[in-house]
Formats: sequence, C-alpha cells, structure tokens
Amino acid sequence: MRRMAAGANRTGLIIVGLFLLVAGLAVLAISFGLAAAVAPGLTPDAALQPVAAVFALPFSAVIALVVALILAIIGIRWLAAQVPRKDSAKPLRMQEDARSGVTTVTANVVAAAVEDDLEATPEVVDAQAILRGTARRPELVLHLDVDERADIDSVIADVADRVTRNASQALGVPLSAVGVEVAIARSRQRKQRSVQL
Amino acid sequence: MASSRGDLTIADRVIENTASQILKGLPGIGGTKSGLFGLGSSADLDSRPSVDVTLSGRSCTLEVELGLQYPSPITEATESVRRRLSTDVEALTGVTVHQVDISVKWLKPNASGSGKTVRNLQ
Repeated sequence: MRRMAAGANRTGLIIVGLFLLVAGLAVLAISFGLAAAVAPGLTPDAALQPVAAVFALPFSAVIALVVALILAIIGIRWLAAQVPRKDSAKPLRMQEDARSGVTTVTANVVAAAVEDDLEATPEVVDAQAILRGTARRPELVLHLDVDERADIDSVIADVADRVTRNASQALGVPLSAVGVEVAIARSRQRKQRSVQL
Repeated sequence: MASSRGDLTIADRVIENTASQILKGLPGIGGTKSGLFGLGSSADLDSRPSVDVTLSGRSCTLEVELGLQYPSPITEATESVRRRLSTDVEALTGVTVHQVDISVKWLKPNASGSGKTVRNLQ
C-alpha cells in the first residue's frame, strides 16, 4: 500500500560505500608508500604532523561544527525518508474549459468514496484506498480486510467489476491500473446497528 | 432617467445565498452539515453547498464547495452546476457570472446522504 524509501536507501548506501572505498584506498596507498609521489610528506613512517596541523588551525572547530551540522541534516532527512508514504495523486483538475472555472477534487475524496463502496460488500470488514496517478491516468491501490469465511474470488470479482466501474465512472476515464491487497480478518469488526428501509 | 428613480444595491451575501439555494434544488448535489463550533460536520445531500462570491463591477466569480452523489461523473455533474449557476444567478440578480470554481469536498452513495429516516428494527 505505502511506498518505502528503498531507492533512497540504495543511493545513500552507494554514496557511503564509495566514500569509504576511496578513504580505504587512500589509506592503503599511504601505507604502501604510493601516496608520497602525490604528497611528499605522506610516507608510511611519517608522523601525523600535517594532519595535526590542520586540526590545530583556529577555524578547524568551526569547520568541524559545520560538517557535523551537514551530517546531522543528512541523517534527519534520511530518517524522514524512512516513513512510508502514501504518494497520493495531486488534486485532480476535472473541468472541460478552465476559462469558465476549475473543478478540483482531492485524491482523498475519491479514495474515501471508493472505501465506502468497498465496505458495502458484505464480506469486506475494512478497506483502505489510495488514488495515484493523474486525472487522465488514475490508478487505484486497494487494501481489503476480508472476513475469514468469505469467498475471496467473489470479493475480487466484485472489486474488479463494480468498484472499479464506479470509480472509473466518477472520474470519467478508465483506471490505468488497479492493485488489490487482501488480508483475512479473524472476526467481523463492524456490527450493523440499523437498517435503511 | 433610471437613476432618478433610485439605486439598486445587491450585497454579495445575496448572490451567495441565491447561488446556494439554486444548487440545493439540484439532484445529487449536497453540502456539508456543520456541527457544533464546526466540529462533527458531515456530508449531507440535503444541505446547501457553500458558495463564496468575489464581485468585480457587474460580474462575479463564484467559489463553490459541494459534495456529489457517488458514482455520478464528476466532470459532467460539475459542468452542469457551472452552467446552471451562470444562467440562473444572472437571471435572478442581474450580475454576470464570470467563472465558477468548484471544489468537490465529498462523494457519497445516495443511501448515506439522502436524509431519509433510518429506523431501528424493533
């Protein structure tokens, strides 16, 4: 249902991996004496005087602080990216001619209507819907909690026929993709207290 | 001269209420029933949609917040609303409707918003 930050994680790991690889190669180059050709002071038996000199500079604390801040921001952004996202569609514009006015419908409004429609199926205990895509190419992602005694095939058939037809009719275009995730509910959570005659 | 007989001033509230009342008569169009202090508001096909008007000379722009019966086609239903408001508001008030911006706030099946009495089985 919700999208994870797998792509961002892979990119982050590649960047960290490349950085560590370069650092490791640099240390190896120093230990084998290969770095002396580039930086004359960097020999395997050299003291860490050049490095210590850098840290002894008056503004090195400020640089360390700025680097720490940047790393903290990157870390917070990475943590924020781990929160699963719904990635709902942007508000849909559904007017024929914008010169006479615009019609706006949010993805949540359509998703709520689809959820109500899904829950009208007797075997469906609970339902969540997410509308993705655009007004011309809408996509629906559905999660159904179905009663354990329900005929799953008939529920899927109902979703494929009635629910998607209704959504398509409301949106005025065919759905470009529909994903359905079915979970089994142990017991019915909804108890109908009244009936409309 | 017409001006010698006096002026006719129409407040923006009049246009808003007129437009709202026009929409109340349309099937499959509803508004939001407000709760106490704005809490507990609910979608209702029997409520009047909310209309906000921006006047500019003798023309106006309407901003409408409404709900629709699901699964009626949203584009067709809102275009019908737009046409109806453009003609009727001008006919009733004399103010030309330049644009009608519509925000659909909810979509509900007929049964949940018709306002019919729900009776408990005894």
